[in-house]
Amino acid sequence: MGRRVLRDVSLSILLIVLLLLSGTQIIPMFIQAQEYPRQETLILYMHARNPSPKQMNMYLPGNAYAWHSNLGDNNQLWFFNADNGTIDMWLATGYEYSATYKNLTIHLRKGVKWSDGKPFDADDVIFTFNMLMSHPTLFYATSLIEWVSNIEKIDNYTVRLDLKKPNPRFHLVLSTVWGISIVPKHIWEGKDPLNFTNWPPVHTGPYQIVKADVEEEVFERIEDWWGNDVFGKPAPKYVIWRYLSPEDRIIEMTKHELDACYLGDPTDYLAIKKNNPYVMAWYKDPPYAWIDPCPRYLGVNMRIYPLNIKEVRRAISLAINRTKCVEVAYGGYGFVNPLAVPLYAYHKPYFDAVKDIVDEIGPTKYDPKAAIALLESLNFTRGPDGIFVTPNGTRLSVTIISGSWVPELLKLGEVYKESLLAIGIDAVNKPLEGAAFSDPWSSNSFELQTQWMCQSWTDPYFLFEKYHSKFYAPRGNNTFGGLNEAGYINPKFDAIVDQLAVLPYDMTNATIRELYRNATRYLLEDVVYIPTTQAMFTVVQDTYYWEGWANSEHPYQATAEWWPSFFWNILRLRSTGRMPPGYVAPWVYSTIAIVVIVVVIAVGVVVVYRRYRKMLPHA
Amino acid sequence: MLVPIKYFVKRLVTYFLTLIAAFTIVFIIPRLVPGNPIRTILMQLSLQGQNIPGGEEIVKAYKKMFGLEGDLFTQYLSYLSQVLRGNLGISISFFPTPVKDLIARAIPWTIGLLSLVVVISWVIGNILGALIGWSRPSKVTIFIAYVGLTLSCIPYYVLALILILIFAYYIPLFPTSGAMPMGATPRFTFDFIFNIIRYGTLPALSIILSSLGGWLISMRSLIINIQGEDFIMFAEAKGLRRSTILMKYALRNALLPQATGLALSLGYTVSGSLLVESIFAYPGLGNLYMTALELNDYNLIQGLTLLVIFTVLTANFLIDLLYPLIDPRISYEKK
Repeated sequence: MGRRVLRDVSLSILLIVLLLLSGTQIIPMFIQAQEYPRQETLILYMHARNPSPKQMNMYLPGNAYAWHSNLGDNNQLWFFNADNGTIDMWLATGYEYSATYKNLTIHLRKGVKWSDGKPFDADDVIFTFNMLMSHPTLFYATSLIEWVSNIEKIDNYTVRLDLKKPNPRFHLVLSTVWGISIVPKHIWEGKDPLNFTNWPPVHTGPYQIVKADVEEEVFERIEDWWGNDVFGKPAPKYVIWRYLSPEDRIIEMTKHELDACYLGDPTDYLAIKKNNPYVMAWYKDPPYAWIDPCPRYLGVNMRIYPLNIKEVRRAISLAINRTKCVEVAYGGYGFVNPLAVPLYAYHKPYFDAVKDIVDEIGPTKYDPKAAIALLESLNFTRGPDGIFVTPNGTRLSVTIISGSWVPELLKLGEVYKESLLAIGIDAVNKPLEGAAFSDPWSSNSFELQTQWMCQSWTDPYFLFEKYHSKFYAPRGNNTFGGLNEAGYINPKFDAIVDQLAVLPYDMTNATIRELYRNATRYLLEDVVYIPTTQAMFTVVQDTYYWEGWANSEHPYQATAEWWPSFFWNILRLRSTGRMPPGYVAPWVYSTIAIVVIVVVIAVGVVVVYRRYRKMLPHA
Repeated sequence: MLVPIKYFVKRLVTYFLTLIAAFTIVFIIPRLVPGNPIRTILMQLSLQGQNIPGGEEIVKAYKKMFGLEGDLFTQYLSYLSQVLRGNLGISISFFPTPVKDLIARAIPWTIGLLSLVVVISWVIGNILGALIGWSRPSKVTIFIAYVGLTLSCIPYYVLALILILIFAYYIPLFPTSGAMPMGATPRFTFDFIFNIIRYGTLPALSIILSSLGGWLISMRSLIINIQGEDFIMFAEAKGLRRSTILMKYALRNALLPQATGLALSLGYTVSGSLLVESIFAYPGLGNLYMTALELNDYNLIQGLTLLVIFTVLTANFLIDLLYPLIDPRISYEKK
């Protein structure tokens, strides 16, 4: 009997303790995590993991600083606005060139503070530039070394850069969407920039990192940020970057657990919209997607026979059905782009200036019969299998390298292959990624390759400069960034580019306009590259918790969350005030827990009493 | 019974020779792939619209920094001496982070998930296999055997996607991805541990379901074979209960080869489960491996592969030494 009582009492005490413990532990798990309340948190899609999450030196490869950059922590002097072509000032308030374009004076913003409270001034700018120029292996270093001859501090908020040669576009060398991140002199001085991890980072932005992990970074708003009075206090109190697989992006966005990301194509967006009416894209109607600044094209290597024959390149171009490219690669939501210059409004003067050239040459014209006729005019003959054979007996075959990790490039590669096979060119599509994709490009050993034309988004001049013969390298030799991947050599074209190098992008000036026209004519007539499509990026946002995103009706900035300029979106966001779906106040859970515990204890007491009341003295 | 010295030394020499041969192959193969890891990184940045002027100079300078200059043999000797001092080098893609730091960060997730999963699937698979192999054939045992066979044929990443669809989307009991709740800081509390288990459930389940079939089928075959042995007949003749014969006679013998398989499987866990970790965004070694391969990060690829080789070879080595001690039928000496 005694042992039974002892056992029963022990079990009862254990049960009560477990209930109390669970009440204090389990219940909070079902309560929304108060640490980062969802309605105060902006959740963004992190595009890549950070295997080294505390490597925050933005000038070294593999750094994890990108997610800082996109929250206004990139310490850039200004940002190029890819949607309207303007320069949005950030740590600078303005700049001006001398009349010869050999000097650039930068005016810094007063009142800027680093996140540790120290003031930002010209000393930080000069320190950063000098650090880069004395360490050529750091990112952006060589552009400063190439152009800058002297850096002068005029006063605490004015810096003058003297250039070795005139460059009216040097402000774009310093900063476009990405750019040189000014570092705090008082932190970096005395450190070896090749080994310094910059953790925890000190910056001028409004968000401080509180957690850095392989698949997540968490930021908290700095309440006394200097920019609150200048740009306004950003609404989200917390920002979380999350790495997700492609399928998860769609699921999480449907469940309001992701506020912004990019998707594969508009069909994914429409699938989400069925279950989440709050999701939005750049356009309300088709094509929905945002115009990416990097039009797609087919790179051609003129170093290889018979691609070195203009008519062969022209035949390849005529064989490609760009409309089919748009259907296959973008689900029909896209455009053909004849120039590989993004279809942004601020380029319209340029498009108007070259319209007659485009109409005359037809760089995106689809005419397979004309393609075949061109090949036949070169005395190419059809073999028994229908594939052309060149006069020297070579079977006309090409390998197209397409990017396998980007679905649209992969699909474009397939369309190109089918197009070429249809006119008698034996084409093979090789989807590759990583080093296997980039190395044939860098070493100029590819034949045809699907690519992005990112040079032209600020100014078509950079597209022209890319094909200057100074960047020519023989097959097998390396050039970086795909500069003159085609192997184009044309002294007349070079002369035009050299003239444009010291002239600004101004289509109102007749001389400059004519130079732009002539350069364009050379590139299109010589088929230096084969333009195909205007890439469309399906960038979407969920307005359930946050509204005020840029879109086609309010295009104040791009919504690409992987760009540092994305921060302008965050500055304009407003909370909708909505609570998470199915939200229940914590006090409800606590009340339920207390009631359950009290009832269980009461029942337990009653059971024990009824069982052992005979043992009690008065029973 | 101690391990004979001659046997031990022979096995040890084989172990080291295999390790060096594997190290050599691991060193050579990434370098045969065309490409330069630095150039790959800079190319990827340029594709994002970040043009890094003067990239070719950066490539040359980093090559020198990472010891990628010089002939292959010089690079090999340099790396070998480094490894012998316990230094796996600096990651090229995540400079200046040491390779062992990257591995150390990822390894707990892989070992925590996969070793547990391997043991669970081994236990469940063997129990079920023993039961259905020992029982008289019936519709139930045949059904279980077929289910096991079917599951073992379905790739685990397909199961992973099915589980996400059912239990994370249609019936949202579990999260779709990740290893812990968004924004959570690792700490030793009940709710954090509960969440770790919750986040690991679907990845673990996908591997368990696909791998327990293999253990089930093999255990079933072993039990069926053992049923015909003399010692089983003797035990039955002694009048022992069927369950006692199963637990004390049949299972103990059948588990010997299964234990070898378990040890080898545990050795392979460090290679990570690349596709499952990718689908569930689990921050383990498999994911790190994929990143290293994409970026052609020689040092990281070598470090990870060496780790796998080392654990598998060591597991094999230990089994070679210990097996004769476990199974008296196996002898150290040749007969």
